[in-house]
Parts: sequence; C-alpha cells; structure tokens
Amino acid sequence: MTFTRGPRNLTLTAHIVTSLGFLGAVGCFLALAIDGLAGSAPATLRAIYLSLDLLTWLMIVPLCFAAVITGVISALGTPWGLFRHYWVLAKLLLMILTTAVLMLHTRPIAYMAHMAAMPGFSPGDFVRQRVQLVVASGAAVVVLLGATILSVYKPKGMTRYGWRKSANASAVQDIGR
Amino acid sequence: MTEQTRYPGTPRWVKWLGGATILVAAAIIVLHLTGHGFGHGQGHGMTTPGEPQS
Repeated sequence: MTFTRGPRNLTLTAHIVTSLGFLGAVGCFLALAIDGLAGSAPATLRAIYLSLDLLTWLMIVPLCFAAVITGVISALGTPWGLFRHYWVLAKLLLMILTTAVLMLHTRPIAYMAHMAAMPGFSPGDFVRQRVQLVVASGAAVVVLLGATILSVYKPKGMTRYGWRKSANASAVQDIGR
Repeated sequence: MTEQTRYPGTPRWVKWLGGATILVAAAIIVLHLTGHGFGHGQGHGMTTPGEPQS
C-alpha cells in the first residue's frame, strides 16, 4: 500500500521534524553534559543534572519514539518500503539500536538527577557517571548524524527481498503489455 | 536467469557499516561484561532513585 501525495507529505514532514528535533535535543543534552563534566560549582551542576533528566523525559524519549514510528509509517507508505533498500534498513537498525541504548541510559540519568537533588551533593563523587553521560550522548549525536546523512544521500543498494519484489513487479508489467 | 535479473550482491558501504556496527556493539558488550564499561557505578553504590543508600 502506498500513500497518496497528501498523507505521504504529512508523514514525511512529521518524520523530518521529529528526527531533527531528536538530534537537536540530544545535541543540547551533550552540551549540558559537557558543561556538567567541566564545571565544579555544586549549584550549577545540580541545575544541569536536573535539567538533563527533564530534557530526557520531556523531549528526547518522546521524539525518539515519534521519529521511529513516523519513519516506519513513512517507509511503508512509499515505494521505498521498509526492507527493500539498504539505506532504509540501515536507518531502521540504527534507530532501534539508539532507542535501546537510550532507554538503558535513562537509569544513570535519573540516578544523577536524584543525587544532584540531595542536600549533600558532591560532584566529585560521580565522575564516572558524568563521563558516561558525555560519551553516550556524543555517540548518539554521531549515530543520528549518520542516519541523517543516509536519508539525504540515499546510497544505492537493494536488499535481496527488494530485488525480488522489483523483479516480480517488472514481470507483472511485462505480462500486462 | 539472465544477467539483468541476477541479484548484484550487497553493496560495499553496507558491509563497512555493518562491520563497524558489529565491532562497536561487541566492544560495548565485552566492556560491560568485564566490568570496565559505564553504568556499573563501581565505588558509588549506584541505586535506583528512591532506593535507600547503604
């Protein structure tokens, strides 16, 4: 089933907005996490780690799921398909991997926010967790940039399934002539 | 099957991307299994928020 022009443009717009919003939100997370790693004033760090938790639950997680869902709908509603072209499949796998890693990292983020809210918060005790947040968000930015590049350049290459589908469609067209 | 309908094979960029992804995933898994990865909270007793600290 392929969409007509209206729904196709609507889902594509939703996918672009949520995907780039996701990338932007993770970029903001990275900037705050770097500032949290470099800074030392407990009041500033408290504000940063509480903000990271809010940013995660109010922006990053919803945009991540929205990007995956709109991407799947958009792929299924166009001739690109979900499993026909390697660039679409690669993007899907990258997004599934990113979502899984993101959900795993919500725990250390919540932990840091929880500890930052404590009265006797001592940032020096949490260097490992602070580094973790920088590394994970940096890696996420790289993966999301990769997914964006795949979407723009659409490198050639069909999967075996896509090739078979395409060959079948050509054969049906030939019979119809 | 003619030359035109034969599957041309997996493109080189897919092999590179797949290989790199598998290597990175394997490295992360090995680091976590050996306790060198992040998220173990060694020395800090990482607990779930709300859970009492020992």
